[in-house]
Amino acid sequence: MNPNYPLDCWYVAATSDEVGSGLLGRKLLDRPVVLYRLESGEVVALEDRCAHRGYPLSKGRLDGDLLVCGYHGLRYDTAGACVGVPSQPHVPYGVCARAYPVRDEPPFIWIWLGQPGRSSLHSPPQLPWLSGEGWSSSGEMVCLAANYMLVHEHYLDLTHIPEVHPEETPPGLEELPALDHVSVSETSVTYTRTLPPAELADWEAEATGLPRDREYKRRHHGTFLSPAILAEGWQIDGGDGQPYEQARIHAVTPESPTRTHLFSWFAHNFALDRALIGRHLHAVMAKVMREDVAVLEAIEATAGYEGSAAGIHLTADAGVLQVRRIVARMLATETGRTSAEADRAPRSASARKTARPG
Amino acid sequence: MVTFLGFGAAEKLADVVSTPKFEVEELETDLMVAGRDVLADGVVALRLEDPTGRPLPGWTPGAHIDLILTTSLVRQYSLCGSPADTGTWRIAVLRDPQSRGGSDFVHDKLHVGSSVRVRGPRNHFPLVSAPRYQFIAGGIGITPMLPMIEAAEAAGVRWRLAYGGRKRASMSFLEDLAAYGERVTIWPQDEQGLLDLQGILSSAREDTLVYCCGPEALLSAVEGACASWPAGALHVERFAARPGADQPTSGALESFEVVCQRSGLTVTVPASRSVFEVLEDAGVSVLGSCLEGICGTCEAAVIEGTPDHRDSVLSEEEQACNDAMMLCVSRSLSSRLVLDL
Repeated sequence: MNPNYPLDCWYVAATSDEVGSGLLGRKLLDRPVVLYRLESGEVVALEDRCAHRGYPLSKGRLDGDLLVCGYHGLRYDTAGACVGVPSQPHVPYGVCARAYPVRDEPPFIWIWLGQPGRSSLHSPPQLPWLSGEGWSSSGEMVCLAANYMLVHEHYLDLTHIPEVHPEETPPGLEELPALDHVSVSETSVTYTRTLPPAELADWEAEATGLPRDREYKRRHHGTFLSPAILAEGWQIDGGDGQPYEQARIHAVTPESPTRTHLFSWFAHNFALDRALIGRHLHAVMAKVMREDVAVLEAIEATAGYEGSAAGIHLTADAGVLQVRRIVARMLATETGRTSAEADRAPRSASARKTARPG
Repeated sequence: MVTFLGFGAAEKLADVVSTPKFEVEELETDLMVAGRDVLADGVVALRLEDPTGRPLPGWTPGAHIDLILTTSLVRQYSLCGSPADTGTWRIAVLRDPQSRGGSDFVHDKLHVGSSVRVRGPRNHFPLVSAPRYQFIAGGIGITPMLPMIEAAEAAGVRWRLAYGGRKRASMSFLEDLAAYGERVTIWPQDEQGLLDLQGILSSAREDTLVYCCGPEALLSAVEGACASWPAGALHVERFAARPGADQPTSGALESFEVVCQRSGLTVTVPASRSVFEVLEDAGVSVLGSCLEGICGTCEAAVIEGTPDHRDSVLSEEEQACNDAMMLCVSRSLSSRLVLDL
């Protein structure tokens, strides 16, 4: 299928830990990218392709802050300009590997692969759960064989939980209600869902330490912040005035139209002094993610995203439909189509077949 | 708890007693006036921020917000700051002598520290990627052009701005615009007369998009001057309905049926009520804002039937496609409209 992801957006390229003293080669938005750190600690991202014979620069080596191609030894500076060719005294004019704007905001390194100048007009979303006081967080990354919008749409509609994750479903919540409220702006969609009182699932009881012999109110909420980030919250009202809140951050970076790097991060704001709780939650979330990946890869392998998006809509899809409109508009303004076409594309039955995101 | 704007009532879960009615709405929040500056004769600029310092949702050039001043007083203002500033929204408001209360309210009642209810942002005037832009602004219509210019500069594409106003003292942002040199033409009416649109637009180029915002007379003149331009080259934003837009087309039906395909609901729209009102009462989740056919919020896709277009959002070509309509003002030429709702 055609790419259905906007280029003009900050995406997560890697975790800050992944980029250490070596060279990290990674395909992002169908472009080969090499990431590395300068001696100062600053992160650089270049096109992972030597201008000479196309050998991946990530297979080369660092000489101080210079990146040396592992094939014929061409040397590149931090702006991607070729500054040395071993076999001749002069450097051909204008030879370079494209440099991409990056931001190192732990735990993530963000990259801008779109029109370079426009990067300054945007900022990566702030993710206070992952860096702020009062939260403990961890996460892991997978690369799955599914279009990135399948990932967003999966997490935008959590009514799949009882079927896909029966062990993690609180008893009595086997039928999750659709959303209570969806709130949209030009670039974001926020949704909330209030759940009827129910007992704790095993993992909730173990994590919170709350007594099992009663029912608890919960609220699930989330925000599509950009095509790169979906943030979710899961609150349990412990009845003691303290909200037991967990946040799941899905950093969704297309590798190609049919593959996605998913940085799945998780944070909680209770029992921060008990490391065991964090490890327990991490294990639960890792299991949940494996189950999610299996579902998404099965859809990609059969219907594909276009087939999936052509399916019928349910009430629970209110958030999904709003997100499709936002992405369609982003693609339209980026590629130079008119907004009116974009606004209508994801909604009209005839256009749905051809509209890129939906 | 850390939240983004829009999580709203989720903050005190214990207070939730029953499941509220399901709704899709535009983001609404209370912001604080963090700054107020007089920019030119009759023009004040406001800086709006979240009172608790949360980041505001992103937007792109051409976006506007609603200020919900009172329950019956809702006004749209273009965002004129930088999209890169995620902590502040900036608007500039002209005191309109014919004000129906909106601009007077902003000028007289909103001070630093005031709270104001805001809805949006939304964007029906997006800056579509192009190698060249001609911006045309009349008076306070300069506001959406400022972020557009910033974006064109950032993208490194060619642009020009023709900016007309009654007189120099009434024109905002002249100092900021001076930095762009000859790419900006300042055209005060009392010195030079009306903008020379023929001169500005005579050299139509295939790769140029025209963006125009200002009073109706300017918009009509630009629409006329661009008649021979490629379809889709001209983008305009109106502050009021296009004159005559609200008139029915011949053959318009007083009463008709609307089928909402997705919700599986059929309603009858009587002569006295709008499609929007009837759908809202029937519990169909529809977004609406201006309810005058200007803002484009209530646009719905038409699957079957022929709408009687009375809006000022869609161009004539778009209206002729009959595949979308504005629910707040448009009606029907056919006895049945099937909508993707």
